[in-house]
Amino acid sequence: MKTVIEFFSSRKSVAVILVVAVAVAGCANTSGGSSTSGGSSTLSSAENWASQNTKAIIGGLGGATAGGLIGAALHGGPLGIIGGALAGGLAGGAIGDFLDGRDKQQQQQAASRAMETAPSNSSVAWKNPDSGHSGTVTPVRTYQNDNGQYCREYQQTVNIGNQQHQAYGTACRQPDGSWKIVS
Amino acid sequence: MKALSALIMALCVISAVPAFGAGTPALDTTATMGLADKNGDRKIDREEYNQRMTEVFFFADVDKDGNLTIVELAAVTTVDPQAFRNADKDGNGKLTLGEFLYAVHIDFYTADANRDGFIDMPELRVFMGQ
Repeated sequence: MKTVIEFFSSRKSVAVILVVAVAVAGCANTSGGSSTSGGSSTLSSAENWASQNTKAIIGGLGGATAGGLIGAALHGGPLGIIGGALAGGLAGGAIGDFLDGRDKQQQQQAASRAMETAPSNSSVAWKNPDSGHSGTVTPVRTYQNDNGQYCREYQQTVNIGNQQHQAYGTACRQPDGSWKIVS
Repeated sequence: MKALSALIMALCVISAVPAFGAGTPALDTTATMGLADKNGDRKIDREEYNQRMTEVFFFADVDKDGNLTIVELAAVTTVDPQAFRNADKDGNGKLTLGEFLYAVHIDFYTADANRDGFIDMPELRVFMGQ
């Protein structure tokens, strides 16, 4: 049996990792505000957001290594594809009928950020000022399935008028970096 | 060729490790507890710990191939190469999620000083050196 000290040379290792994840959580929460002003395509908006927030996170942590983790997490996949792949499921059904194109775009961006960068229980918010519609996407659990794919259970809310709709689902990361809804 | 690979690996690890120690802010036990404590009882049980570590694995696995290399791990924490090899049960140079969880499982055992199956705030503070 290895001890903690034997595996990591610092006993603070796990805690350090968790603190890095705190920064990711902050990043995810921050994105909600920034996403409201985005008007460009999903991919370019996501890249702009990633660039701005990575700088902020690196500055906050003061560590190039932490930036490397977070930066890689933000840039590690085709964000536009992720959003697109999730869009159908997230905005589907009766809720989807009430969302316009801009709503769905904002939702896609939020979903991309949530699945790739948000720790569990950290919400990524979106809001379309034109329609007044808003929502959140919140991963709640991360695991590997039998095929070794990363899967994340998520909860989403969509606010239409005075009503809030909630839904739950699971998406798994595909080899091409997209996320496929499996339930 | 092996020597070259070893040198490249060593350089990667050396270049990655010091940066974190130099710039890491003071650790916050409250924030750490908040991330792992899903049911809000101010304690981390084994399931919560495993879920949190699985997520750490996910974020640290930069190329998302389902495995952690020593370079990926060194990007987020200080790594003893020998300890990494010990954890790498099949010796393929990568940690599977199972190998990783087994290795960090020892952290839980160490932190849970009173052996009640939970890491509470006082234990977390001691574990984190605060």
